[in-house]
Amino acid sequence: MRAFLLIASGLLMVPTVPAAAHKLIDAGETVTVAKSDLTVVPAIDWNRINERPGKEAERWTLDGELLNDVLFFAEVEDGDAIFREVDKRNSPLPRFSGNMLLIDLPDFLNSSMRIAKGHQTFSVDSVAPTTFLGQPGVSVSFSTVGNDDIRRRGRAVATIIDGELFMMTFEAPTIYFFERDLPHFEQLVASARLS
Amino acid sequence: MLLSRLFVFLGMAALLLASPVSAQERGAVRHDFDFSTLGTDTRILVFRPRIKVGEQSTGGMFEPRADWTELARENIGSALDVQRRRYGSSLIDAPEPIGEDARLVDEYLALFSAVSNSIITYQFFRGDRLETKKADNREDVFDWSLGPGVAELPGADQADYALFISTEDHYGSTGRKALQILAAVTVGVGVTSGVHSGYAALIDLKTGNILWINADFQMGGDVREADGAEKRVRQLFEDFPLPVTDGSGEQ
Amino acid sequence: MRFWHLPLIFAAAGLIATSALADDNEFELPTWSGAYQPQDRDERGLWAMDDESERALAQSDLVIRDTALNEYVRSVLCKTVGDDRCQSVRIYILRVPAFNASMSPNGTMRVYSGLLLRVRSEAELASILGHEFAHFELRHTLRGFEAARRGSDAMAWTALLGAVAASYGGTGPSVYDTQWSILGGLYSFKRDQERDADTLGFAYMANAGYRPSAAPEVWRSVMNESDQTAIDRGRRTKRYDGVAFFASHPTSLERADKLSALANRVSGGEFDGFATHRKAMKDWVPLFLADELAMNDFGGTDYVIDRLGGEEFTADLYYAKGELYRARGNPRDMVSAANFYQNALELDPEAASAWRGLGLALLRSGKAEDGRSALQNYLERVPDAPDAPMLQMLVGEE
Repeated sequence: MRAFLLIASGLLMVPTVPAAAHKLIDAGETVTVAKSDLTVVPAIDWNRINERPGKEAERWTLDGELLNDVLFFAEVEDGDAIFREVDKRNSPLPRFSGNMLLIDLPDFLNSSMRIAKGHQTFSVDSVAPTTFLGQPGVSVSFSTVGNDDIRRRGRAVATIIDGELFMMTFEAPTIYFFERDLPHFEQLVASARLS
Repeated sequence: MLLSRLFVFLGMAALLLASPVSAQERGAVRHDFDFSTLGTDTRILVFRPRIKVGEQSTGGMFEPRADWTELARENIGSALDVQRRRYGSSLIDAPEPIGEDARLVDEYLALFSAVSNSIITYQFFRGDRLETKKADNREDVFDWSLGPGVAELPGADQADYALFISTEDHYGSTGRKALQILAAVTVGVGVTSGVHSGYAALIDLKTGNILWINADFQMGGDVREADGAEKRVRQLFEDFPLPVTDGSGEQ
Repeated sequence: MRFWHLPLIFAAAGLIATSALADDNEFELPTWSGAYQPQDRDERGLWAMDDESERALAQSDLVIRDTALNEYVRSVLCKTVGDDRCQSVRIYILRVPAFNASMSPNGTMRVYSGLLLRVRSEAELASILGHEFAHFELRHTLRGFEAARRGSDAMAWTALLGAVAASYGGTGPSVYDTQWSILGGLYSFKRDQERDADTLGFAYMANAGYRPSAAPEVWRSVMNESDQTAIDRGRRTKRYDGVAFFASHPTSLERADKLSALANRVSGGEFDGFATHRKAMKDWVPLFLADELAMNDFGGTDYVIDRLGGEEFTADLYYAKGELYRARGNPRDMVSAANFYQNALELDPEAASAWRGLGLALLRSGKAEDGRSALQNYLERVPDAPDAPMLQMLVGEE
């Protein structure tokens, strides 16, 4: 046992090096996101965070997810949660249902984000029809207070095609970052296509 | 003033050289800021440091220890006074904020923590550095900001720059240490031994740009002891880009 | 620790020690010695920390500052413990959908909106506030900073707060830190402390004329809710540490029985205060229920609504029930949801939100025409609703 401990403490002294780096998303190139048929053409360089936030999800950022968080959810099927479960036993995530209406999505997003991101509050500021991926879609403006006590604002654009959910969200601190980066998100949304 | 610039440069170089083992940086200066403009007449608004000290339980949960925090506040306070004497009248205390101002200061301190956190995770950890922070020869570019809204902070109209300081220490409990060993053996991952984070940054009160920062999740010095706190504050002020006022360091 | 040597604690402990003999003085209130002041360096440190945390709390977006609601909660506390004791307390109502209340050594009382939602009367509220105040008066909370270190407790706590920020700043510090400041510490009271607080809590209730058995009732209801959550999620459990309040006040069936026994022994009053409570909560129930709905806990929330409804459901409760079933979204749920919305509308034809829910439930059940006309009714009543443009589109679809 003693030898065991010595080996263990030896291990602890070696710094843990992150396994894989995040990927550069080049401006101007067509990129497939969330292992799906969804593509976007960014106008500026972005970073794709290595760790996937969910099975059918992908995370992009400019300065880190605390400061500007873009999430893509594509081909989310009936019965799937959009995020990876955080604590399935005590607070399971809500599941997408193929027969949801577009107008049900703000509540679904509210519940998903509160549980997955640990938001203290989530309020829907407006819900409006939009066109997304050439389909009738919904655009949601929301505000949150995170568990780091930072007030953020967010935008989500979504549509449901053949019972599958396609959604892009953006969230950033109300101070400075939201206003600064919202146009970049809107550009991504405008460039989104199904290939 | 050229000297101070050289000092900063050498300091940065020393930092880079000193940390090849973990491939992690601990400090940075804004690439396009002319530090020679900082002089004895520079006015820097010092906000009340955020200080938290506690224990880290087996579950990794932070459990504040009031007695330790109070000790740390005293110790760090004295250590800051030493720095204050070194830099003379340039460092001025921010007014004690009330009402809406207090809220604003809190929000900026929270944002400062998030930005520092991002800088450590996505800039200082080489392996995790965001690609946009490297692309197009941006390797030497340090571009982080809290935004121009900092000009609204109470006292901002009386100063050129703000100094934000934040420390947080989680000292591991026995159970936590056992878990670290177990995790290292069974899964081969390192569970860090407590958090000893410290952030100090000089912020341009017009643009919100971070001009200079020292930030690390694993700083030295036990803040519960006078010597340790002094070491911590020395680390926080390492390469602080302001010329030392002559002779006032002794007293 | 030093404070255990204070005479008052000895007096209180003596009071408890004789309780087994069913002493006549069992539920006698100790003399109030005024708010306790920190005595030594360690305690002053605790106070300073507590003051710091209260500063953060006072700034928090989670605090509900509505005057009427704050006055109501304060009035119940003051009635329970008396004006002298009440003066040493500053109450903060936090908008958090969980059953909890706590008190820290400097006199800060935190009351979660989830507690206000789950109690049905002044007496039920008084039983919890009194219990917390008893811990304070007996200075148990001084030891609260020795928060529970056991992994299971930490898990329960994080689960309740919505989640660990795995995807959110998970690498750095400050996540729990601010949470602690705002939401209050994780106090784990010991068995003897709980027994003492129960006794003193009943003494307050008796003194104020509240019906003592309201205490075991609210206690049991929260246990039942926890059971319903578990059953709905397909697991059986008799562990209640998933409830914030019970994470710090460990409970069990045995504990609930003991509470009932105490309640029977104390010569309390008969006052419940259902009506005053309902009146104070009227405008808040829909909001607090909406927060519960976002927690994705069908079984637990269903139980809470049913208990609140008791014999008499209100339009707000029928509406919440409709929302709950519609969110779960099975085809049969849509039928139930539509019924609940209709029940709400029967009680209150102007319950605008119920028209919205009804319309959406009908649309999802394939009853397009009825659905559209219900939505039309909603839009006529709330033309400026945040989702009006979206609903307009649904109404316009042929």
